[in-house]
Amino acid sequence: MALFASMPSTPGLLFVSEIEVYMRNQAFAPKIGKIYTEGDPDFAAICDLIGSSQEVLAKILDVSESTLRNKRVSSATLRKTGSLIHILNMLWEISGGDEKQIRRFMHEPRIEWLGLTPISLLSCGKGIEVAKLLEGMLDGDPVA
Amino acid sequence: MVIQWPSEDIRKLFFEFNEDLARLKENPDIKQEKLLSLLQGPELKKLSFDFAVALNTYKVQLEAFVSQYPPVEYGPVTVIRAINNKYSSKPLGIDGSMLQENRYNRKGQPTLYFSESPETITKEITIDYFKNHQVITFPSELVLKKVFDTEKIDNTEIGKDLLKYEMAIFSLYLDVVPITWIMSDVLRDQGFEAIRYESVRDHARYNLAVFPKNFSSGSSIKLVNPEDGQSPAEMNIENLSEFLKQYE
Repeated sequence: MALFASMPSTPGLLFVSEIEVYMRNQAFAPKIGKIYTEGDPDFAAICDLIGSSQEVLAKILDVSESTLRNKRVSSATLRKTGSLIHILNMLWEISGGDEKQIRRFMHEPRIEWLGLTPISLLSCGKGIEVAKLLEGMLDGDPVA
Repeated sequence: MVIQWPSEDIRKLFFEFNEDLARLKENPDIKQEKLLSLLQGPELKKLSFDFAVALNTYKVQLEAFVSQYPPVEYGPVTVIRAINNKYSSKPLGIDGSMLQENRYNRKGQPTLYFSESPETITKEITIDYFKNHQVITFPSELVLKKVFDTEKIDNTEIGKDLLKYEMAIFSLYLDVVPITWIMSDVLRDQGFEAIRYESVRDHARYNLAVFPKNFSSGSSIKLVNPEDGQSPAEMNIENLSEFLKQYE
């Protein structure tokens, strides 16, 4: 399943927006130099930053592990990586570039999601929830 | 008037689902696979569909209920306003709600949140280790003329028990609009200035979501100890239009 796969629709007026629409206006400008090599995403560095294996990253991005090992990154893979980069950019900003805190966050069960971790959500196509949580922390109100 | 669920089966399934989640939450060794299989399972998809239909009916019934509900006055009471540190120069600003959705606001619906207890704020901040995410609090005095006070309403009348779940139950697990947004839409449309509701993470203590666009004469929010440069120090019907203009 893709990182931000479309969510199943529900009837009536009560739809949850699809991630493709949601993310359309987000900025994907790279902020974290260490996850790029010669302008392309460095997947080994991303694995290190999120504290996960290449297998998990491949699942998150919905690509094969061999794709991640390729030197040349296709435009399709680049597009799939964009949403994750957006999340990492926000985490970088909130944590002040603290990689240990980023790894902790990625693997910590969250009460907001009734125990799921960000990595689990990213791996099952619900990355929009991770993005929303971080956007809320950056710009929103802290009351539940 | 009592709001009836379209189907008792749906209501039962919803609460069974929440009990399943609660059992998993209590386990310190939460198994991600179990939660994910619950999230992606066929039972939940069926519940999600039925629940979305039920919520449409709920909204219609809620509109009828709220139109009959006599609003209550609130205050003067000193409550706590918690905001992102980046908005420290305008503690009564609505930036947070204009930029991000929250429990009782969709993105772009002017809303100010308050807690009646400082302990509630502490419990609601779930991540405290990020250097650049700091929350600051301001005591504020509220006087409101038209409040929907859920403490004073019988549970069965509005399905109040549904309002105190994490938003993720709706947006993530059930893939429907959070029921609190439906409540907020209805209250705003019918001119309520605020809803007083039980905190999700600090049960038996109450928060308020204030809808400043609906302020009437005599309603106000005041900072108890305004500091130099903080503006506005008070929001009321007289300065409301000017205040909201900044966000247009």
